[in-house]
Amino acid sequence: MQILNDMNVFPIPDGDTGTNMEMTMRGACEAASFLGDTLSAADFDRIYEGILLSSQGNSGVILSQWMKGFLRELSHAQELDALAMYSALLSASQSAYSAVVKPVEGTMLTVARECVEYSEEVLYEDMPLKEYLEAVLCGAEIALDRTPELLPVLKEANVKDSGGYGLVCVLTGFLRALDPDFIADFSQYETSAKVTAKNENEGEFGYCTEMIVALGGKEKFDIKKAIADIEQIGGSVVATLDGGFFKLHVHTLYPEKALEYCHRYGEFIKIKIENMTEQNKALKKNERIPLAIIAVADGDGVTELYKSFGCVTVLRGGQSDNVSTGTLLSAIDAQNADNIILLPNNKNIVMAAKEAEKLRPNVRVVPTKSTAQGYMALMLTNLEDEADRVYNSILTETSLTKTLVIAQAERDSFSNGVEIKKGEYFGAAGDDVLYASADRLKCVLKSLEMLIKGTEDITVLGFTSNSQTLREGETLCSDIAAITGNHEVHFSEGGMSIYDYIFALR
Amino acid sequence: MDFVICVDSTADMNADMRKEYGIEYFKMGFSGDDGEREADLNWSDEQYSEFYNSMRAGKRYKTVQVPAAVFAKQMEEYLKAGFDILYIACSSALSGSVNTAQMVAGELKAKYPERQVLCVDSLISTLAQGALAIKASEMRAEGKYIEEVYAYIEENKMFCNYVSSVETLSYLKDAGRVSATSSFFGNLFGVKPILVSNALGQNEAVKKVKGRKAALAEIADILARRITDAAGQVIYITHADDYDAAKELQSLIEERVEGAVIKIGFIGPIVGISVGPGTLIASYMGVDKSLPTVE
Repeated sequence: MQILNDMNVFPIPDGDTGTNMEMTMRGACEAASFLGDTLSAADFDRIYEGILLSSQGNSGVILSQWMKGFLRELSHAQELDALAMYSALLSASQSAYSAVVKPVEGTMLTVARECVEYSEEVLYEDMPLKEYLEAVLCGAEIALDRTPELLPVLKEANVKDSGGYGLVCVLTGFLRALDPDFIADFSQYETSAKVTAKNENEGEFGYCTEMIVALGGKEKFDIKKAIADIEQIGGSVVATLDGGFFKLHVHTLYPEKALEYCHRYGEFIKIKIENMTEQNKALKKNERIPLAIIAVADGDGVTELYKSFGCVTVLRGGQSDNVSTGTLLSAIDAQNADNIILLPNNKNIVMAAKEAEKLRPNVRVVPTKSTAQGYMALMLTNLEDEADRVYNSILTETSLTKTLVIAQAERDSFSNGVEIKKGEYFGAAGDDVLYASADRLKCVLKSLEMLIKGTEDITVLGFTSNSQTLREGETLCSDIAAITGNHEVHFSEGGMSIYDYIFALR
Repeated sequence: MDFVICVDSTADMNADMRKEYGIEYFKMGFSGDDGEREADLNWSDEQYSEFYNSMRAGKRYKTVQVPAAVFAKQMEEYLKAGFDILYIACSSALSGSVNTAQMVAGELKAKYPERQVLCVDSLISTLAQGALAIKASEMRAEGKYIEEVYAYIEENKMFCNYVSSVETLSYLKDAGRVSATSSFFGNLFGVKPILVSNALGQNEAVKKVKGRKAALAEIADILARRITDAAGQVIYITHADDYDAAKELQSLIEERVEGAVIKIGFIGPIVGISVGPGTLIASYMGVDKSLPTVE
């Protein structure tokens, strides 16, 4: 049930498909538990009523209608054979479609329909029921596999359709009723589903490794144990046992380990190993996007924050590590976007960025002076908008956002009428030093006060160098709020190297 | 022949309002770690505060659409008593209830062939959905037939709008009930997303503004720009336990829009779970909602 919940992305990704389908089938079971050995037409209706009344959620409702068609047709059958099952499943599929106002392909509807179509092709006279149902299940699996091709939202989330998988489970249940040993195959689906749901781990695993092994080694082969063992080696494990052949698919950083493991149990019939990291890179390059944003930033925290916007790429660099035009160009050329907005986030990098802008027609630079200033502009911009509007918004927001940095002086100096001694903290806005003090907190407050005195309703965002400056900064929130006349004061650990604090004031 | 007008738990109509307009509702449900509850719209102010405070304290709930059994039982009661049913349902982009209702209605047709159940996918929720039901009720009082009322609501639902601000997108995102893609989901540090109900009935983030005050002003601005026939219109402000902000929004709207009546109410549990505490929604009749909000 949880597996299905985790896979749920369509139509509303609220993670309840498993719960809904289980509740629905439970209604059938409860109704069926009151039935005797022989069934009348009314009994079929009673089962359906049980299902209908316990159905919940979209998937549950569709499942209930699928069962409705199935039961109604089955109630007319003299004998439960392959042909009767075929008619029942056909009627089930039609009934499921009619339950939905606007049927969408790539869902359990597709699985319901295509499994019947598939089975139709292999159906022959006097086909044993079990064999027929195995064919249905095979068709259902093929259809399930295809769901991401039909429904883009599934592909994006890297899952198969959860309702479709639920239907595969139900069909598996039918087979298990005929043959209790069928349980082994059920665990196989479970494995692949678990992995599909955990797609964020993808990419960690470097090689897509597939093999077919003719079993015959000295050690006794147990597929469940094998799956568990291989899951220690990698992810996305799909394993099947077909006759004497063990088929394996796994994503792993160490394909040699998977080979070594399997070799114990027999000889390889086929091996395929592909580097997925390279594949992903190639794939990414092919997807042209309307807008990419490149931000120069230093510090892990700052980098993570920028990446929290899906369309932003971070180029590491900053005050101590000025980025060259060449580096910027290679970052630009790695993008496959119609428009690129470049946020240099440092006065010293603006020049290099302007050079890059001259050389590449699809690049526009917003001369952001700090990571906090650039971030404030992104926060206030609708990044879903058209590229021109995004650029204009970032430009406007940047011009309206003041920025302040706090750092420790490395030597004595005198700037903008302020005397700074080595080891003291100073606050600077652009080229202007505002204040210096041996007391870091005093320096923060005084500098902020000088910069925003007299302006109202200011939002303050402060990136800090580490967790200590974060804690320290947070003690200042109410003092800062008193200066700004606004309680919107936020600190986040930026992890940058030179500055103790970088503020954006908007 | 008289007919019953129904909404569901997302319409956020309290008992007084339902009584005034003779409107029934189908209950959805929600569950937390302490089990499942019905999404009642008769809560007291204290119950609402308690509920939203539990969310503020980190409690999370899951919503359940109207169960088929609830539809079956309640619809049959009305049909048996000889009433037709007009169900003005929560947006199909937010809940599957309307689909379930249609299915149950199909089942009941066999048993009550002379009765009819008409379902409207309102493409909206909260009191914007409620406002459509109120309009239906007013037409019923004028003696209009169910078919006429149904056709009118179908034709006019696209003019039924809301504009809203949420404290954070994370509730909508967790509930899977916002249409924006990942670029909107940055860490926003007090920046408030502004959302509208779009032509597909989804919640769409259209703008981000700095802080609470600016968010309220933005809602009022968008509403003032898009409202039509303001004089005499009732604008509904629903809030997830922030009455003061709702009052503040009321005066901002009053500054910009003349002649409208503004009513304030709670966002009920189902919508509340999806949007989170502190959310404000202003519902109004205005321009076709497929027209872009931000020009």
